[in-house]
Amino acid sequence: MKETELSGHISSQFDHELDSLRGRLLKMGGLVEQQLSAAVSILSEGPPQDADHLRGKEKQVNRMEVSIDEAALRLLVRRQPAAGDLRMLIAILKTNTDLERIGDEAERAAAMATSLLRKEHRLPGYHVENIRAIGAHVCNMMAGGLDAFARGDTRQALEVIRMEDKLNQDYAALLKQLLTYLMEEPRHAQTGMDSIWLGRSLERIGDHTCNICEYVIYVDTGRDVRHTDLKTMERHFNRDG
Amino acid sequence: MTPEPEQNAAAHAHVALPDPGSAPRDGAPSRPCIETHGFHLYYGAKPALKNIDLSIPERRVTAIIGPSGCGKSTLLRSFNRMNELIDNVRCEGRILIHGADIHAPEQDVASLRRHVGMVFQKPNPFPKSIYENVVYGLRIQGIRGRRHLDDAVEHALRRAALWEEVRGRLHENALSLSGGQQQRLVIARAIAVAPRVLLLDEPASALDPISTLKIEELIFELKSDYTIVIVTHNMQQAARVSDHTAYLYMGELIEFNETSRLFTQPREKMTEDYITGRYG
Repeated sequence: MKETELSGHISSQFDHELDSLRGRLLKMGGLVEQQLSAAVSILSEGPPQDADHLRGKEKQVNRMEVSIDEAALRLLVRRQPAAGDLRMLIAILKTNTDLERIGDEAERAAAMATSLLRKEHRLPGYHVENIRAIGAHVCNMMAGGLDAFARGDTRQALEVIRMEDKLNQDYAALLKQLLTYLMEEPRHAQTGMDSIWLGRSLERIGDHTCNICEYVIYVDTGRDVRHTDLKTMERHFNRDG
Repeated sequence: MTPEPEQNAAAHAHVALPDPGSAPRDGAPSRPCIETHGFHLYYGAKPALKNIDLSIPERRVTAIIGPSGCGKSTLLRSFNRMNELIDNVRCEGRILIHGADIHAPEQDVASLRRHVGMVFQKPNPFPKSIYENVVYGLRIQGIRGRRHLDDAVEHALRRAALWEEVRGRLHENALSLSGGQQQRLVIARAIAVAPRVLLLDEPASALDPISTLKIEELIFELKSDYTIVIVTHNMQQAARVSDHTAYLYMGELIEFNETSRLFTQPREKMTEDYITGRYG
């Protein structure tokens, strides 16, 4: 169905439950976004003063994942939704999983970034700068993805998916540089490996963000675009208009 | 509406509809069984169905959904001309079953109703024995052979998934059966006269959840032999049992689609509003 404005349900309680669930998911998205931003800023600002606070966020995200799943299952059982409501609930369940994984990757990235800064042998500045640039790009993708989900905006979701190309190119270039670094500085292999793991976590966060954008397109258009290349998605989008 | 016995039973005449041939393979595209072309129906001056164009595939289950008064049951009853039992009904357009126009002058209505059986919301067994209920239509057709009737009873009750429950008490009054069993008995009575199409008008709405599931299971079993059209208010039931779904609103066909598609990705906003509970 072509997306058009839908009025409220006859059951306003259903509206309330669905809105509340979306709100909780977006709140969880906000927490995960903060986790990611904190992990990336370690590279420029140093380890956080309050590391426990960051770990607390991770635990909060885990609790939210479980409670959102429970609430979504309750809605499925009680309301037996169809069409756009069903797609929205499926998207909430799947986005919930992706957000929790983004939280895990952000925590890993923060640990790697902290470990890098504590090493006696520092990673050369241009490598750090490249990782920071990838981190900033992923933060932009994440903000765009959550915004697209909040607005149900397929156009913006496609914009974010387009950003993955640059992420993949930058990540591939970083890997090449770090492999060269490992060969040139075998004594500092741990530094090189931590950097690779950090880059890998950022790249995975980009992947999960693209997944979320694919769910936005699914909710809006009913079209499952997973494992579809960007050109095909754009063709569908132009056709669905 | 509770029909007179004759409405559910077989006919005297034998003007047969064209033979539909063999069943399509599972998953194979199905030929149309019932087709409506520009079909309108009026109760007096009031239009109840407007310009319905529909092609119901053979040996599949098609659900008709829509809000109260949208014309679901009227459309269902049009397929065996049951509406003609109501005063002041007038229709335009064509309904074809296996290519034959059911309103053609040479079409015998009783024969049509033998080929297009109907089951109603409220189980309506006759106040006779289980056995006599099943053979009612066959007796009207003039079939008398005891062995033939016995075989027909066993076959119909087995097809209706009731045989094991009643085989030892075939001569007990049908009214002693539970509501779910009575409904399956009525289905057995309908299939005893070898129809090609089964029309089910809210067949499970008066039943408890377990009896409902048995009826739904039965519908699944029967679709290999019969084209089934079911009217239901229960959208989950339509989603569970049917291959195709038609959504009607105020006498108009809004959307006809594969059930899996209609309930996840409807084409029309009006359908989406109805199935997601926004209509009203």
